[in-house]
Amino acid sequence: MNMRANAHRLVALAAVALLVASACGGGEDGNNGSNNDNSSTSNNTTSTNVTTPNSTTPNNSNPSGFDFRTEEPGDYVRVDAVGQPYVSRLFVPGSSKNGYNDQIPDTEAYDDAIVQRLSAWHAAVDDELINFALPPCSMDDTDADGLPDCLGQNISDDGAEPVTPAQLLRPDSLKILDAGADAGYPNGRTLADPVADILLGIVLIDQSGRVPPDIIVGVLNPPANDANDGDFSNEFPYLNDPF
Amino acid sequence: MGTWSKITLGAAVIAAMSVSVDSVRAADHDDPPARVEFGDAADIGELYAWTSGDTLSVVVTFAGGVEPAPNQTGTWNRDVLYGIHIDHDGDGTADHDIYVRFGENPEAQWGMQVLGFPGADGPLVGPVQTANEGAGGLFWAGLHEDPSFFDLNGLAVTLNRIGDGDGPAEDIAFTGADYFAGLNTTAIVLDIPLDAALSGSSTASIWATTAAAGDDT
Repeated sequence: MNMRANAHRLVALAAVALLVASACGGGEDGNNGSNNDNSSTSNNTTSTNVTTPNSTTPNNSNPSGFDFRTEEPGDYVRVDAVGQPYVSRLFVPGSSKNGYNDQIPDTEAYDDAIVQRLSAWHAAVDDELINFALPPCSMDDTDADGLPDCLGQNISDDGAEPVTPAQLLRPDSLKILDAGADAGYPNGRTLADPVADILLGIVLIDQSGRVPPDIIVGVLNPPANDANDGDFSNEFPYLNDPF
Repeated sequence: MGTWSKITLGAAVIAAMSVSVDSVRAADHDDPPARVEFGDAADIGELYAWTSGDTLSVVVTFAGGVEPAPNQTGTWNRDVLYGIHIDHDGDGTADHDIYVRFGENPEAQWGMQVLGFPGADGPLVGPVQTANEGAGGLFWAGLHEDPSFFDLNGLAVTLNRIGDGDGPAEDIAFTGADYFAGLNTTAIVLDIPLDAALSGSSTASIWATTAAAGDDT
């Protein structure tokens, strides 16, 4: 990813954006007879095509005798959720995070809150973007498509299928935009992708001049992971050994 | 996609910009606040998903951002259900709900159970910290160094400084420091045959959830 100079000043700028946004996520076979109550008071998880094993299932697939719960997934109560990286962190007020996380990925009810946050970001950082010759995108809807320009602008490379920030943010889910193309945020998310800075670049800066989405990578946040010189393994399970 | 309305900046916006340091830690890692804290088994850290060749790889980190300790193990909680949901036809509902939960055996060994692995005939079970095979794919859960890199402290301090939010930012506190440097996390990693996961589609939406079970009796 490209790095940009004058890190601290522009970091401050992007930080403001982040801050503004942020304020504002043996039961089976071989369960050794440990039966669990199916107790819950609400159902925030859904199961569409899952078979939950019962205590009478043969032990063949659990020879080590691990004691798993046996409740249906629908009997559990949602605690946390995440889809598109950093949306809640950047754009959802703290007082709304529980409600927002409970709705992931169907977060349409929070559209206005997200726009509000993003507008506040721009109020805080647009002057500085201009000072660094980075044209801020507009929160007006100049093309009358029902979206603030920042959320409706095309962030794809020339010739590629158009993609807008709005398509990334709602529904709030991580998008595989093209399974046959090289992976890299916003086309999926690899371990090495500096997603926070890319996302900020996408929603703060006018992309019509084809400013690279990664233009502020490394300005606000570290550009890479701390371990293994920022690299991850190409082999499953890909993650670095623990410290 | 619906209609997004432009919001005129006003008092509500300015008020919304005021954030506490604690709330900045939220949004996956210690999010949602008041429900989970750093290190909690049900606290999702990050979700990663990418395709390579004929494989969809998914990583969900949880209970992360924790200091290393001697003989440290992954955070295993029998009462938490981890969900990975895949919508490959764009209708807004998951076509695959993959669930992972953990259990211990009498030898104090922990294992993982995967329900709904695309292409699997039934649950997949295997020990943690092991590359387990099943349904043409791989499944794993284990302790790792936390792959997140983000200046969370810088964000928190700067948020407080610009709390009024009525103009250009001053005294931004970002330094580029990595809050997650030197920390560990627990992670679920799945390699799923792409055809089974996406059923021939070239696009998908993926999200992760955690949920808690009721009490045993």
